Amino acid sequence: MTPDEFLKSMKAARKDLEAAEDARDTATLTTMYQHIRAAMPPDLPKINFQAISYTAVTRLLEAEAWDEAAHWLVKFEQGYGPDFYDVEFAHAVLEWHTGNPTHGKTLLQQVYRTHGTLPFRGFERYLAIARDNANALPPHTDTDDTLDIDHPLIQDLTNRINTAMDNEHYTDAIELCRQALHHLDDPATTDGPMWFLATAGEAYFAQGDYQRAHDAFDAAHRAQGGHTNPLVLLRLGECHIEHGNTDTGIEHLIAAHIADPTALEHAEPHHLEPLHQRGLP
Amino acid sequence: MCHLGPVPPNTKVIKGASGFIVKHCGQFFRVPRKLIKHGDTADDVARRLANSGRGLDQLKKLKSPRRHLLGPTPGKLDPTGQHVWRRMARNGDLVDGDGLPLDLDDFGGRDSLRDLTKQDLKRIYVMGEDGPIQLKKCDMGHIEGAVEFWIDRGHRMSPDARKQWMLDLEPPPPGKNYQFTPSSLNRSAGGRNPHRYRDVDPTVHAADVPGWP
Repeated sequence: MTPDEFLKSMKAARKDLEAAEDARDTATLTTMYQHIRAAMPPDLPKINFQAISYTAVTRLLEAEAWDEAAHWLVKFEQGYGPDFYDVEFAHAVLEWHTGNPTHGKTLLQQVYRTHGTLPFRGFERYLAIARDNANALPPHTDTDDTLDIDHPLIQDLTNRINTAMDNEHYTDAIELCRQALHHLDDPATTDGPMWFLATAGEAYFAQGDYQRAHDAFDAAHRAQGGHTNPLVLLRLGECHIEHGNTDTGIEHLIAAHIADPTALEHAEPHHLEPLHQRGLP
Repeated sequence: MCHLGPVPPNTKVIKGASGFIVKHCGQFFRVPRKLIKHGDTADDVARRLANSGRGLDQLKKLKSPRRHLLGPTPGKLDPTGQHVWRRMARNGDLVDGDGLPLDLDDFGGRDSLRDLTKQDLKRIYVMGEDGPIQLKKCDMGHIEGAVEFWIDRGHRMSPDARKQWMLDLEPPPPGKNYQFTPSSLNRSAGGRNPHRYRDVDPTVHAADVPGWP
């Protein structure tokens, strides 16, 4: 099969693959990807090879089709190299499920320590294993009973969170944010979650837990409205500086200053040192 | 219990970016300038404040950064991401799960592209340095960075004009200065020197007010 013929056959199979993915139909996905793997021409252009192997690994891990996922992981690693964060993550997940769970957990923890929550997007259930801490903010999980932010339950939680934050009961505030986020839909496509993610981030930040604060503000930054919010930009910048990612930290701090000229007044003074050293702002 | 009486509990003087503030039960107060001398540490200011005989009710209250910068309640938000999606899709900057240019007819057609959905985030890819990266692993990034903007012209502009740049509203279309950019966070690379800016005497920046339990 030539590359063009193969890509045409992939396009023809797309709807069936998506249907099997949505239904989490492990048997169908496994069979389809076995055929695709057998038919894949060796001279497929790199971009197609990469995208197809990336999609295959993601789908097969989600469907818990471990054996076929292991076959595709070899190709995924060929396409992106062993240091790519999602390659490392896929190895860790497979080790956790099909190899030595203790070693798998160690690998997941290494991936989290190195790359934060990034590789876990879409696979949030592994975050709990990697973080091994009940106090961590939960990831978004799809539920059938999502509420609008105007719902009285969410508004009640908002009031209780404000009271907890004002009284410096940060652990309580985080737990209440956790409850609210459980009821809201995906932060990337929904109004409201950004506020709860950022408030939880502020609670972690006040506790001096810059790693979890980073994770919460990073999620808030990706949520609707987060990329222009001065508090999110400010704290995300401060967390990056805490982690030694100075250039990224400075970029966020300047963005916070642009979004609100008073934002930097609320920064921890030592987080502003890199700005002062570069004559900014 | 927190209150605003003359002997407030849980009170600290903190050296902030714009001067000394008093933090008390999650509330913030400005320290009067006459109580601050050049070169003061938080310890010096806390001692002078305690000796001044003032109570918290005589200090000017500041808004908490969370309420001030985040906003008091969650709200309905902007659709910038959808504008960015439409622009990048029409420009051919996105590929599908086979690495091929997106077929816009699958998304409602070039002139009437539908909104991005949760499922799309897994099935659409942005070209990164290593190859195609799932949209789910991307962030909204500035095309022109904030630092670059600030150095080039932002420092000369009014706060309102800067904010227009940040919100990407003027001139239209919205979303023109944002793009989906592959995220990157390598803590092991950045974390080689994680506490470079924390190597300071904490009493310079924060101190309890003597006599204020």
